[in-house]
Amino acid sequence: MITKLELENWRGIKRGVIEGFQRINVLVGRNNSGKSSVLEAILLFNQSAEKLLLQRRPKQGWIDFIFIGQDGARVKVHTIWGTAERLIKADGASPALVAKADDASPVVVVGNFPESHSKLMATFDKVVLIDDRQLSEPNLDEWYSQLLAREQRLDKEWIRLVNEIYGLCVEYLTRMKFPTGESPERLVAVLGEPENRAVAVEWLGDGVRLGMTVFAAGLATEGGIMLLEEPENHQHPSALFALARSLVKLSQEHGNQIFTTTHSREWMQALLKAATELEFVGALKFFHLQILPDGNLRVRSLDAPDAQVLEDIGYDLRFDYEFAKLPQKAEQP
Amino acid sequence: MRAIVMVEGPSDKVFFERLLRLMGLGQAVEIYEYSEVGYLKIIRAQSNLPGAQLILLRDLGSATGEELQTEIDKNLQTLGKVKQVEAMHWLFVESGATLHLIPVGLPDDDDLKGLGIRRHELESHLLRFLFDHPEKCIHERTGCPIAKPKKLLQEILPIIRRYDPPLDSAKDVFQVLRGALGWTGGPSNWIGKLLRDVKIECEPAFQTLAERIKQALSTENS
Repeated sequence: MITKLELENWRGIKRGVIEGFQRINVLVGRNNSGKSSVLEAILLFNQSAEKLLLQRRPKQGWIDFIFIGQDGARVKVHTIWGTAERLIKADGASPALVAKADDASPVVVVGNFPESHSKLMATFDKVVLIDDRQLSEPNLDEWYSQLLAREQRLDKEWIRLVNEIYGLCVEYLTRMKFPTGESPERLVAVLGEPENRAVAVEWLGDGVRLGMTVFAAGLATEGGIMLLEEPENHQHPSALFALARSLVKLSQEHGNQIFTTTHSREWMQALLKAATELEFVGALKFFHLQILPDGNLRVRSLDAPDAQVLEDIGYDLRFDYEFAKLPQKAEQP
Repeated sequence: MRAIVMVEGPSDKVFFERLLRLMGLGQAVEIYEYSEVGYLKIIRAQSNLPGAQLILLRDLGSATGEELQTEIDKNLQTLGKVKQVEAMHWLFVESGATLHLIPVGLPDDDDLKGLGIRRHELESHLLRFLFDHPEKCIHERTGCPIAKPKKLLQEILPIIRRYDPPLDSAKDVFQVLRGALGWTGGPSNWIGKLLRDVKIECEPAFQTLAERIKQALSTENS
C-alpha cells in the first residue's frame, strides 16, 4: 500500500507531498488542482509508463518519484529523458521497469529497487486507471478473461456485484458474432431469468459499462491499486451508494488500494456511508488538493470521522479552499 | 476566503445569519450549527485547514466569561499544539488556523437578574431587545399590544415557579414570554419575525455580539 507520495515537476505541480494514504483515498479540489496529476503519477508504474512519461515530459527533463510503502519500504525513481543515447541503468532493478525502457523508447530509467521491496514492486504491476477512456477503448474483455482464468472463480463475484448495483440478471459474458452470425464479434452479456436474452455489452449504458469495468479491473488486479477518475460520471444517483458499497467491500475483502477523484458530494457521502456501514471507516480518507500560485501543491487531509462531522453540519469539503488563507510566501510542503 | 462561525442551535443560526448579513458580512462567513455534533469535533476537523478562521459562539450558561474561556482552553488542549495568544483567541501552531471565542449572554443585565435569570443564552439578548422595544410584543391571535413585557414576566414567573420549574435560564423565560404572547410558531420563526425591519447591529441588546464578531474578523484580516 502506498502511504506517501512526493512529486516534483510533475505536470502542473512544482512540488508536492501527500502523506497518510489509506486503503480508500478520495481526492477533491477545483479543476486544475492536481487530482488527475496524482493519479497519473501513481499510474506511472503500470504497463503504459513510457508512453505517459513521454506525454508529460517536463521542461526540466526530469521527474522524481518516491513511493513509501506501508511497511516502511521506500522506492525512489528518478527518470530522465535522453535524446541521443538510450541508457538503461537499474541497480537491483525491477525487471518490469527495465523492460519498459526498451529500444523503441527514448526513456532512460535510473532505478534503485532493493530486492526486499519486491512485494511493493509487485503492487505497481497491478495499477489500473479507470476513466472515461474505458468507454471508447474498453478493456473489460481482457479483465473479464483474467477473472475466468483464476483458480478462484472471481467472475462469479463480479457478476454478483454488477447485478446487485444495476439490478441486472447477467449470467456470464462471452465473445460471439452478435446479433447474427454475420455480425461482427462482440462481447455479449447473457442475461438469465426473467429476461433470458443476450445483449452486446457495448450497447449497455455508459454507467453500467464503467461500473462493470471498475469491478472487473479491481478483481483482476486483486490487492493492487485502482485509480478511479470521477467514477460518479454517468452514474444515476440511485446506483452511487451501491457502487460505493461494493467498492469499499472490494478494498476490504480483496485488499485493493483505491484512489478516486471526484467533484461529487453525493459520491463522497456514499463512500462515507458505505465505509461506516461496513465498519471500514478507518480506511477511508479525504484529501483536498490545491495548486498554489507558486506551483506548490497544498494538501489538506481529513480522516473519515472528521469528514463525517463536517458533512453532518453541512460543510462542503469541495469548497475547502474558500475557508483557508493562501500563504503569502512560497509554502514548503 | 471565508471565516467559519459556529453557533449553538437552530435559533442561533437564524439570528446570526441575519445579524451577519446586516453587518455586511454575509459573504465573508459561513455559519454552522454544532448542537448535534459538538463544537470540539468541528474544531478538531478544521484545525488542520491552513489559515482557517474559526469563530465559536458559545452560551455562557451559568459561567462567567473567564470560566467559559478556561473550559474551552482545557478542551482545546486535548487537540494538541494549540496556544492561547490573547483573551478568547487561540492559534493552532502547525496549520496557522485561529479560533475566537465569543461568549453569548448578558450576565450583568440588571433587568434579567431581577427576573431571576442565572443562566444565559442568546435569549438573554432577545429578552433585552424586547424590553427595549415593547412595541414588538403583540399578542399573535388578538393583535393586542402587550406594552410591558418585563412587568408581565415579573407577574407570571413567580406563579409558574410555585409549581417547581426553576425558570432561571434566559431560554426558558423567553419561551414563557412567547407562550404568553400566543405565538404558535417555533422559536426560530418567532425570532425571524421579531427582528423583521430591525437594524439589529445597531441595537444595544446585540451590540456586544456584533462588536466581538467584527473584532474577531478584523484580527484575522490584519
